[in-house]
Parts: sequence; C-alpha cells; structure tokens
Amino acid sequence: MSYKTLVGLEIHVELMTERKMFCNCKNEFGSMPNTNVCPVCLGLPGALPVMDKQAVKYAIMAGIAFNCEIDNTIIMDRKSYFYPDLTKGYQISQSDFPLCKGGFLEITLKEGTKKIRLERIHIEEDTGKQIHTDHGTTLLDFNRSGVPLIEIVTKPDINSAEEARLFLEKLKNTIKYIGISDVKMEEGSLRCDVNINVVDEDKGIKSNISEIKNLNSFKSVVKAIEYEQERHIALLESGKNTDKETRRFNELTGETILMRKKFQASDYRYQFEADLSKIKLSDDWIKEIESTMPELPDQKKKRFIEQYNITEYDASVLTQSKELSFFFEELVSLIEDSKLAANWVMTDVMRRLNEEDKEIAKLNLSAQSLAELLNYVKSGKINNNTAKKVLREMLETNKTASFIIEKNGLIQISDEDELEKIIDEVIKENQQSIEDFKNGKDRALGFLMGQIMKKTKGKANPNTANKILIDKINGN
Amino acid sequence: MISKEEVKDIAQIAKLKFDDDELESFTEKFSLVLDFVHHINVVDTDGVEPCYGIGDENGFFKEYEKEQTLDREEVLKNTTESEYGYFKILKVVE
Repeated sequence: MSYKTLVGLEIHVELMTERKMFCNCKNEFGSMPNTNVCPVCLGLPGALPVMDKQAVKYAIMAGIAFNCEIDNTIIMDRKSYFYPDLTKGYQISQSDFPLCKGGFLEITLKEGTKKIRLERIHIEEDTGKQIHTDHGTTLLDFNRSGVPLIEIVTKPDINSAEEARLFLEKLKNTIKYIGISDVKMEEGSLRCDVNINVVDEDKGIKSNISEIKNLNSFKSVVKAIEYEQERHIALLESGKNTDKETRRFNELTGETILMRKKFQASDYRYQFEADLSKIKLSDDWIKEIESTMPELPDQKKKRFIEQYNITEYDASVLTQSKELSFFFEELVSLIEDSKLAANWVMTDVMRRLNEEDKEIAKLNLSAQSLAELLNYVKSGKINNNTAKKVLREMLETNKTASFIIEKNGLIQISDEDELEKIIDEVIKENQQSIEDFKNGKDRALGFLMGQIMKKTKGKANPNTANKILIDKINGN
Repeated sequence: MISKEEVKDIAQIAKLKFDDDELESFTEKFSLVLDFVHHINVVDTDGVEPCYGIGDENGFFKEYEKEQTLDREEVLKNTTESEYGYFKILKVVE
C-alpha cells in the first residue's frame, strides 16, 4: 500500500523590535521578571493598545522575503481563550485579513527544487511566560506579553520529515538574512507546530489531522513527524482512524501524547479588535521597504556562482548562513582568490564547524587570520598540507599563522640548490625505485616524493621538488 | 434549537461543568436567547459591505515617547501571591 504524508507547519517568530507591539515597554529577552511591563501588556482594565510601526515593517519584510502578497490595510482581531499567561482573556491577532497572503519558499532536494507554498503570514502578540514549579504552582512573567510575533502558516506541501527540516532551515536562514529576528529555538524566538495526516493513496482514505506542539528543536520536529506518520498509518491499516486532536511531543521518549481535542477556529470566537482602528499603509512605504531589503539567500547564491565562479553546490553551502557568507566574502576580498577561498572554507573550515557543531561566529577563526595563512599558500611559502596542519594549530592555540609558521620553521624550501642536494641523497638511497619508475611503475615517483618530504619535514616545495626529481631521473 | 452536545462544547471552552439537570435547563435557555438574537437575520444584508468598526482606516502607529513601564513593586501590588518577582498562581496545565 502506498501512503503519502501531508505536513503543514505553523511557525511563530518573535520580531526583534525595539519596543513591544502595542505599548512602549522594551522588547528584551532575559530581563528580570516583570520589569518590562505596563498596564497595556499586563492587560489592566482601561489600557489601550497602539500599533508598533517597526513590528509591521518587519512583518512586511518577511512577506516580501517569502514572496507573499502584502495587504495594505491592517485589521486586527481578538482571539479569545482562557489561559493564565493571557491576562486579557484574548490575544490580539489576525483572522480573516492576514497582513501577508500566499507566498512560497523553495527547498533544494536531491531531485531538484521544490516549492513549499505558504497560506499566510499574520501578526499577533506573544503571551506571558509560565514557569511550572514542582510544588503545584506556576510563576508568571509578563515581560514576553505583547512582544510582536509573526505566524507563518504553510500549505500541506511538505511530504516528509526531511522536507520539513530543510524548509525550517531555509526559513530560519532567510529570517536571519533580513535581520528581523534572532530565530533561536532554545530561547523561544522561533517556535514550530506541526499539522500532520496521511493519505492512503490506493483506497483514497485520509487520516484526521493531528497538531503537534512542544517542539523545541528541528530534531524534535523530525522525530515527531516520523512518529506520527507511523501512528497514523498503523491506525488506518487496522481499519481505524486518528482523532482530530492536539498532541504534545515528549522529547525523552520520542513519542507524542494527547493534550486535548483540537479547537475549532469558531471556538476562539474571533471578533474585530475595536481598540485598534484599521491602519491604511501607503504604497510608498511598502515600496520603500521593498527597496531596502537586504540580499536574500537565493539571490546571494546566484551572485556567488556568477561573481566568484564557484559551483552551485559550493554556493549553496556558502550561503547557508549569513555569517558564513560574510566570512567567505571577506576572505575572498583579502586573498583575491575565490577558488582558493571556496576550497578552504568548504573543506577545512566546514569540517571543523561540523565536528564542533558550531556556527562560524563561535569558531576561533576570523577571515583575516585565515587570509594570513592562505597568503602563505598563495605565495608558495608553505604547501597545502603544511597549511592544513597550521590551521589546526591555529584553532587549538588561537595563535596567528605567522607565529606558528615561524616558531616551527615551516617555510617551504624552494631553493633549487638546497633541494638538489636532498634529492641527490634520496636517489642514491633508493636505486630500486628509480629502476621501477624507469620500467613504467609510476607509483615509485610518489614513494620518492614521500622520501623527499620526509627528509625536509614536509617543507619541500612539491612542484619544484617534483620537477628536479624527474629531470634527474631522466638524466638531464 | 441548540443541541446538548453544543452546549457541552461551549461549557468546556468556558471551563464549566454541568450535571444532567443543568445541561437540560441550559440547553433550553440557550435556545431561547439564540432564537431571540436570530431576529436580526430578518434584515436583508445582501450586497452590503461588512463593517469592521467605526472610524475606518484612521488608525495610527504609536510614538516612542510615552513609555508607561511600571516598577515591579507596582506591578505586583494587586496580586495575592508573588515569588522572586513573579506572579504566583496554582498550576493550570492543559
């Protein structure tokens, strides 16, 4: 039997505005509890909200980046539900008239690119934060209450856990590029809910949609999708079906558990938020935002391929994060050799990042310090293999390339007289290999080069040494 | 006429629990209220643009000068219990 998995994501992103969405309290992560609050964000009676311009601007930037249609009128709604972190009894959100409609994001699969369509992006306020104690009590902090959010809703175009991961990575990267959020899942500035069901394509039966909450990392998203996929298929196979419900992912067991019956939109009793009049956005302002948009990952990738003459694969890796792309461009400008820069970043630097599971900003290496090392390679003062060793030492000790090269006397021997003496010794000691080479065994040459490197402690300029060696064997 | 199931659902959203007698009585009363409100459906609204509020499109963005952030002492003044600068309540988990 063939099953198709349908996944739609709802992603909340906290916007890095200076102030909160409807009041002038600071929008700041990590302040002392309840120190960035006022009558508006505490939901005290009589307090009135007023819209933040920067929040709207950032949401529009997201809309542009994700190819949405931007509505030029802002209409806010009240979404009513009961929860202690929501003091007003309703969240100011958008229902029928989201600020951004439609749109899409492309992900790169082995088979090619795939378009994941968006349903909408709307703006809303964040709620307070609850800390549950072990003594049956909950502590409430309202610093987060009223922080501006965008909710990005995809269509169910995602068909696997891997596609979901690729989509989230691309989305996170794009948002980082436009600088509207720090998108840190561990700090809650990026949150993701999964809507999932499966279709039995032979029988044309669908399972009911489950919504999965409490996903704290991309890994959890992947695991939750894989778990749910199996659960849905198993139920359909036994002639049953899933319930339309909200489930919670348990990180420790990798399973999902029932939270509650899924709310219907009507249960939220959406109504127009009469405390905020409609705001008409001028076309000029939207155009101005459009014209000041920073370069997006796909645009940068295209430019890298053209400008630096690198492969599409290299370009997509190098533009994966904003910081890495900046690192690469700075390196290129310092050593004026895009191929060399790409090779080093793609191999040694990336390997290190993967090994340590770090981002480039956290690695003990600046573009300037790598450039200093690569300039030694470019000018032939050290060879590639030596440079790799130097880089390792740079990362371990935080010393500069020049310090390590001088301290260890690694400058390459390019002096022909000096090399000739060494090569003469090698030839004298390895007559058998010379014969082998003359009899057509090319591998012997590699062995002889190895002997030269051994005698020079790896410092022989390989090109010069190779040339001298062959000339001598051929009796010139 | 509203069904008992619908009343149950609404009660759940409002965090209320009804016994059978109450459910019976609320279903009846609910229906009376709804029937009354449904009189508004007599008005013909075909072709009329929905109105989302008066004072259309005169909304504005806030200015940054008027900051009203409160001292924490002031914030927690009216709560019955607080701890470490947080409001303290009984745990409610859904």
